[in-house]
Order: sequence, then C-alpha cells, then structure tokens
Amino acid sequence: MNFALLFLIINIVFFGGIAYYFSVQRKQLQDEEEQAQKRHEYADISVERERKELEEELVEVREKGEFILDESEKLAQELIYSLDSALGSEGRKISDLYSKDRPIEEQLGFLREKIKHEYVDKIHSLLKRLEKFEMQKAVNVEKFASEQEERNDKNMQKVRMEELEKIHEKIENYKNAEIALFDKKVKVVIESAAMDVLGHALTNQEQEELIIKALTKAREENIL
Amino acid sequence: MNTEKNVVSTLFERDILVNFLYQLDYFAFKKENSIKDFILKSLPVKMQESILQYFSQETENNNIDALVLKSKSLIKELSSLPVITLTVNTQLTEEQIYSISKWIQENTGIKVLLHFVEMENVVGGAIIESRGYIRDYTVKKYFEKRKENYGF
Repeated sequence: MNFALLFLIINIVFFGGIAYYFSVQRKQLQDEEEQAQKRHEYADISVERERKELEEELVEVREKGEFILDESEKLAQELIYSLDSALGSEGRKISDLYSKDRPIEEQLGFLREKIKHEYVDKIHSLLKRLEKFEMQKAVNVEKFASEQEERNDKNMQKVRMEELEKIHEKIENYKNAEIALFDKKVKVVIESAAMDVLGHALTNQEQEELIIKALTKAREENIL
Repeated sequence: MNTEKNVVSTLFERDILVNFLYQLDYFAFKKENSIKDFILKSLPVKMQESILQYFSQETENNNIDALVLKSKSLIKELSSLPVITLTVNTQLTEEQIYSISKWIQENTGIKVLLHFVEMENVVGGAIIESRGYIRDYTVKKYFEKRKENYGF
C-alpha cells in the first residue's frame, strides 16, 4: 500500500515537472514570438513613417509647384489679356497651351521656357504692334504695360520666378543624380558583359599564357 | 621518384596515388592477385609505368614487406609536398597542367602539387593560393585596379 502511494507521488511529481517544463518552454516561445512580432511592427511603423514623410514632402513640393504654375499662368494671362483688350482683340486661353496631364516637373520646365520665349515674345510683339496705333492709345497701353511690369517685378513675379528657379534647380540636380546613377549602372553592366565575353573569347593557349604570367608575378612577389 | 614530372602534377592525382598505395597495403595482406595486375587495374595509364618501375625490385623478388614499407615511404613523401591552388576560368588539358607544373618546378626549384579550381567569373589569369597567401592575378582584377586609379 505504502509502495503504491510512493509510486503515485513520484509519478505526480515527475509528470508535474514535465508539465511545468513544457509550460515554461511554451511561455518562452510565446515571449520570443511576441518580441519578434513587436520588432516587425516597429520596423513596419518606421518604414511607413518614412514613406509618409517622403510622400508629404513630395506633396508639398508638388503643391508648391502647382501654385507657382497657376500664379504664373494667371499673371501671363492677365498681362496678355490686358494688352489684347487694349489692342481690340480677344484674350487668349493660355491654359490650352499645355496639358494638365503632364508631370509637374515637366510642366515646370515647360512653363519656364514658355514664359521666357513665348509669353515674353508675345508681349514684346504686342508692344511693337502698339506703335501702329494712335499715339494717345499707345501711350496709354504702354503706360499700363509698364505699370504691370513694374508692379510684377517689385512684388510677386520676382519671388515666383526665384521659386521656380529653385525648384527647377532641384529637378536638375535630381535628374543629374539619376543620370549619374544610370551611367554607373550601365558601366557596371558593360564591364560585366565585357568580362564575360573576354572570359569566353580567350583560347586555352591564351589562358595558359595568362596563368604563367600570373605565376611569374606571384614568384616576383615571393608568394610561391 | 620524380612524382611531379612523371606521375603526379595535381592534388587530384596525388589523392589517386595515395589511395592506391593504401590499397596496396591491403592487397599485400590478401595476397590474391599479382602485384602487377593490381597496379594495372587500379591506376590510370599515365601512372602505371612509373609505379611498376618504382616497385620493380620488390615485385620481382615478391618481397611484400619491402613493397609495403616503400609504399608507406612514398605516401609520406607525397603528403609532404606543398600545394598551390590555382583558381582559373577553364578546364585545362593534361598537357597544359604538365606545362604549368614544369614551369613552377623550373622557376622556383620546388616540387609542388597543383590544385585547380574552376570559377566562371575569373577572367584571364588565375587567383593563386600558396603558403597561406591568396592573390588575384586576373585580368578582371587588373581592370578593377585601373578603374580605381584612373576612373575607367
């Protein structure tokens, strides 16, 4: 009877021990899994945060670019419309000149060139046409145009053009960096291909000669 | 025995010969066939003549103990040979291996075993591993160095 009781107690202790051991192991595994999960979550959060920051930055740049585009367009439109009105013809819809579907970077570059060549040329051309009108009208229009020009230079236009220049410079730098990277990648690919071709182009005799050359060099450097 | 020039030039050949010499010990114990037959059966053709010649005295006299003793001495000699590892682009012919082995022996005065490793991206020349040094003497390395120095 005593022996049976002892046996029972030993069994209980033994299996209890095993159960405890496994429960500890399980707990450890759970802890590890939780920690790994947390690490993953933290990494995901970091990546997501950086992605959002980048996106926000990009949105900001785009908004700024679009604002400059709109303002510049409005300015040029107003100027040409005023001149056209003074000359008796209808204003031209400037927004038709470029597509909204184009990327903002392209539009900025496009507008910069357009303002420089087309709008300025157009204004100059209109101003020249003024010479053909009566003196009084011409004086009035020229006065108006010069006022516009003066006001724009002093206030908004200069700032806008400077911002436009800055963004354009940023885009140029980005493009140059991309081109440099592309150039580097191309070089690596070409080199790799050249090496591959060279490796296959060498005859066995040439391979042997190059190996002997390698051994000669190794002997000179006391490697052998 | 001129092991490099006539019988073994490479680590691979050395292993074949050493394996044979260990089997020779076992063969001597069994004493089933003639030693000559065993050599002809076990070794590559290029090694057979030299080995037969090397053990000629022992085989003629049928002195098994002397043969085993000599084979053990040869194993020791072969195992002590230094090894030069050459990583190359292509599989070389036996003649080329012999030629390279001969060049090393003539130019360094040492008996060595060559170990050839084939690697596709090794271009022109070889990566040499000897006496604990590893050096890249390939054309690829040359181009890389030139690029570092001159940027092209």
